[in-house]
Amino acid sequence: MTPLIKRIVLAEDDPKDVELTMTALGEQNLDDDVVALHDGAEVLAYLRREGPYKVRPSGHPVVILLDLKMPKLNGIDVIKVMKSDAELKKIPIVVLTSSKESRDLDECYKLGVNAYVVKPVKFEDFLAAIKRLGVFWALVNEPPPGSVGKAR
Amino acid sequence: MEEDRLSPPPAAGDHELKWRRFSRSIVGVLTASILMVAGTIATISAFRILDLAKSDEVRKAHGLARIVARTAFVPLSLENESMLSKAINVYLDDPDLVFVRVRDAAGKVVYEKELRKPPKPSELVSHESLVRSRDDGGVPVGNVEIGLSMERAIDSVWRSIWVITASALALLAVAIALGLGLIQGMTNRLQELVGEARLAQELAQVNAELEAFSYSVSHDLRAPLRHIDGFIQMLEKRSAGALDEQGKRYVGIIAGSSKRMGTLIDDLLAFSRTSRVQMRHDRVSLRLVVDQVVSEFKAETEGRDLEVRIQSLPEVEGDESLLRQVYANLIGNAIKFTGKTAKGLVEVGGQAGARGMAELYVRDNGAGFDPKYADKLFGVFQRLHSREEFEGTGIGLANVKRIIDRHGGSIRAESEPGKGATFFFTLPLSRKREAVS
Repeated sequence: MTPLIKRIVLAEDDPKDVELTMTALGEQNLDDDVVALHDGAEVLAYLRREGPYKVRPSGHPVVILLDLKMPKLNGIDVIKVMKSDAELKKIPIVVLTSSKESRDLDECYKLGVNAYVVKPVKFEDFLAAIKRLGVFWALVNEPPPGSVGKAR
Repeated sequence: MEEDRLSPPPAAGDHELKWRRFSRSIVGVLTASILMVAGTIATISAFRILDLAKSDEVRKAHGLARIVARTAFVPLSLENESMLSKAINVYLDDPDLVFVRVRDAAGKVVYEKELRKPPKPSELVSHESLVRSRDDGGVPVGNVEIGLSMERAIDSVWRSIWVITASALALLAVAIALGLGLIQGMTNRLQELVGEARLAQELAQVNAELEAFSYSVSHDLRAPLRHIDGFIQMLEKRSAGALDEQGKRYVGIIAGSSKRMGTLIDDLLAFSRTSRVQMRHDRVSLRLVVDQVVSEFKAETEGRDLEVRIQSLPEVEGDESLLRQVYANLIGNAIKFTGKTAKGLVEVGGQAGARGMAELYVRDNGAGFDPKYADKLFGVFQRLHSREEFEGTGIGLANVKRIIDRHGGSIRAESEPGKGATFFFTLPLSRKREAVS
């Protein structure tokens, strides 16, 4: 049996945030479609199929939900590397972060992210935001060529 | 680049003079264009470097335009050489003039006057204008070409620059001649400046640290709050049955407290940002700001017996997003403190007052406060009501005061318990700009 292809990459170092995000995506049955990675270096290794990810099935995720504050390589670093890579720059990036700091907002859009979402503190709002994101990127949006399939 | 109109304007609507200033000093390029009555269109422009410091240059430009305009008002006939030369004569004593040439509609030269040996094309500014007749509805009858040499004009600019340089050198010499006393004074001043620079540097560093601090606060304090709220909700969903009444109450308190802490963090961050951000100085319509703020409170006031009355409001000069915070806080407070009032009334208004300031107010007929504590009202974390009475963090009014202070205004409050409160404040009026064409 071929291993499941994950269409959404969640880059998030805090396991509690991972769990909350997975819960939200689970309400749309999208949680099986998510691979959670814990720092920027891991994200790049995953995308380039390096190290432990050599064996993962080929194809790009349809979206990366990217936290900005992460150990090793932070979110901004990841965006910079991705946007300077002819292949990786096609992958849609949604910044998912704790706060709306104008310089982050500015820099992320300058680097060419597709969306910037502030994680709401109130759980109901958080659920609603993540669900909407999941539905849009996994089901509504047409991913760039080279991504894993749209709907299963 | 600035553009201004030269005054005084000459006879009714017949011509217009504009000059462009490339710097604040002496050099300009003059354009004199004549706008004709309907049917006749004749525009003649003269480009030349103009010494704005010399008033006769300006006068000459006016005279030129007026004569050309008057000539052009008469249905222009290319055969009427005297009329043309009258128009052109005004150029003749202009040392920069190289040639004047008039062509008919077919392009044939019908008048030509060459005054000087033509310079190289790069040193020549020429202008061509279309001449149309009035009688046949503006059919082109010919062209007027005027060629001016820039050489001389540029010479005069260089001369001016030399004069300035020479005067500066002379000034320097005088300064040196004044001797040690002056140098001593300058050294002292220099030391002061260095001190100020060091202070500014230290301030900038403190500011940067503060910014890093608030950045990490907004990131790192929000995350645990989000987790508390998230996991409590999940707990309630999954294990509500396992909790007794007391247990459910505890969960409710935890959720409420985390929510309150979230508001507190947001308010504190807004407060610290107020003094750090670079302030804008735009013309702000308070009417638009207030309308927007009031509409944002609509959901909160729905179903309440509350009237929000917006009176006239002037335009002020300031930072729109900061001023929105002022009104969001004051109107928000007014709505909050009328929560227990039958027939609540919130009134917002203001007018132009003395010394270029707008005098503004936000009034309510709500709970009010004891005037004894009026001076405590604008301090951080100062609250004059218990949390059970009215929700609040005690940061809002401190933020309001800080924003108004930064605008150079002032704020005070009047109230009596149970009789509502009025906040009076001032902000700089928007300065009406001089008419700019």
